[in-house]
Amino acid sequence: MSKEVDTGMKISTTKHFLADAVKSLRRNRTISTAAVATVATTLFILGIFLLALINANKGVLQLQSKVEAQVFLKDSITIDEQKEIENKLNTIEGVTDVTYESKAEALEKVKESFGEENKGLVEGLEKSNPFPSSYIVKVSKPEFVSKVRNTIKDMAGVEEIKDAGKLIDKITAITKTIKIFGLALFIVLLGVCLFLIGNTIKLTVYSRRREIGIMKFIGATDWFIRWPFVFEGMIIGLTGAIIAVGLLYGAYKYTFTKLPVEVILVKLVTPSYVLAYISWEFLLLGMFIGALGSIWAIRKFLTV
Amino acid sequence: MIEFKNVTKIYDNKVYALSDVSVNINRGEFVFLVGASGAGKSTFIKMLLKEVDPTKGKIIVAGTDLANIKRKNVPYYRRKIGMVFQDFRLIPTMNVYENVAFAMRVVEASHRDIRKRVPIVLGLVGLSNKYKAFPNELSGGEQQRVSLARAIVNNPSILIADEPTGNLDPETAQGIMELLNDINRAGTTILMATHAKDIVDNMRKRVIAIEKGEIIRDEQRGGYGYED
Repeated sequence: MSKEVDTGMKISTTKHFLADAVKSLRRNRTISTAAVATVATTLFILGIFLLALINANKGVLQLQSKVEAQVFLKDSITIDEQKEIENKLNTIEGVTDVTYESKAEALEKVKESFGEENKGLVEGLEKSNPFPSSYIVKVSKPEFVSKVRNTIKDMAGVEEIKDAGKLIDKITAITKTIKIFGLALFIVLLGVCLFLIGNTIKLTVYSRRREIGIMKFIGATDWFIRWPFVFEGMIIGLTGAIIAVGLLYGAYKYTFTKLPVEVILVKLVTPSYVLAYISWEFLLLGMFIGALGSIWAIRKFLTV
Repeated sequence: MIEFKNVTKIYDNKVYALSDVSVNINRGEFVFLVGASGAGKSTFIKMLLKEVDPTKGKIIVAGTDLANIKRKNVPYYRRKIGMVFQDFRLIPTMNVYENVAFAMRVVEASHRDIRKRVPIVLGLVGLSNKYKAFPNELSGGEQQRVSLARAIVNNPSILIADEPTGNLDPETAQGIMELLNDINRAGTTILMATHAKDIVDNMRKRVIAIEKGEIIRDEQRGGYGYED
């Protein structure tokens, strides 16, 4: 006997359950719409945070993949000291490339970055070139940067070591804030969702409490009574999710095309990502929220 | 079929709804349960349906001690019992056929069985030509017939009728009693709670009288025994 796991589901009965659910959604049109709108809003906001997080994470990863450290040398450095530093750098684990940049090259780079119209600003600097010579050290993983720093920093002739660590730390910190803030907001909105779906379902349950009573003395199982309401909640959740995915896709696509190319330092996820991945997660989440809301709403009516 | 062994029920407000009630109802019997309102009839019926549990004592129905039925198996137990109420309790948005078919849907009967069985039962209660009528288009007697059809459609071994004639005129009530008698003769044990003196006196069935939570009389082929 399958009594233990009987949830009252059968293809023929499922059809009745679905019909019941649609009927009562029509009957309580206003509050159903409100519930759908809440689910849509919640998921839309969740989606914005999700996209921000995914993009920030992507940015961090891309920055980390091209991490390098620049070891600036003192002007007073001797040939021997410089040789020693270069040899040392080449022996450090994780170092993939060491390039020397002379004072002249450094100046050239700065000139280039100023462009044609601001050339005058750096003119005349050739005589007393203020830019130090340096080694640009490429490493295979970000954690090797600190190794380079620790090995080299006390050697004679080293002026200063710079790396992208600070920038990565900053982005990571921002990501963390987004995460916490987004999660908190999501929890609050989720609560609102459950409450509104629950109340929608309660209206239906209330209008059908006689029927529920009849079902009980006829010998209906709890799940048989529950299913139409769970379906109702799931339809609300699903509709809300579809709207949210549509809005999110539209909004992200719009933002994406409006962003100036220079601003896109890192490769952002494309709008089609919303449809390909986020959509499924949201549809499932929407149905789950809906089902949960209705189960919560009818638990009281099922005792006895 | 139904056995109460020293059953006592005390509600939270310390009211003794039933005290030390012992009674045995055999398979195929027709029993009237009489007594004033508040005497304990409702508690008796509610305990049979396992809506409330006894404070003390044992209730055994069809060989099963109700105390041993787990909460989630209560629905399966209730399918052995058909219920009829004074206010019919039909679903107003469903027509006659659907109301009866609904009881079969609840126990997950197949479409084929439903299509076969419902017309037979509606024929039994004399409603063969009212399939499509809705409850509000029917007389009280007809509504009670629908509710009887619904109660027996799943072949319960026990039929409990709580004041089934309370809302009906004497003539219509007589028709319902004849139906109940037919159902009883087909083998279903019937327990009927009632205030209808005429009916009890006419039928001459076993009468169990409850007063203040105690059985004060239990006689075969008895009469109502009260002067209202």
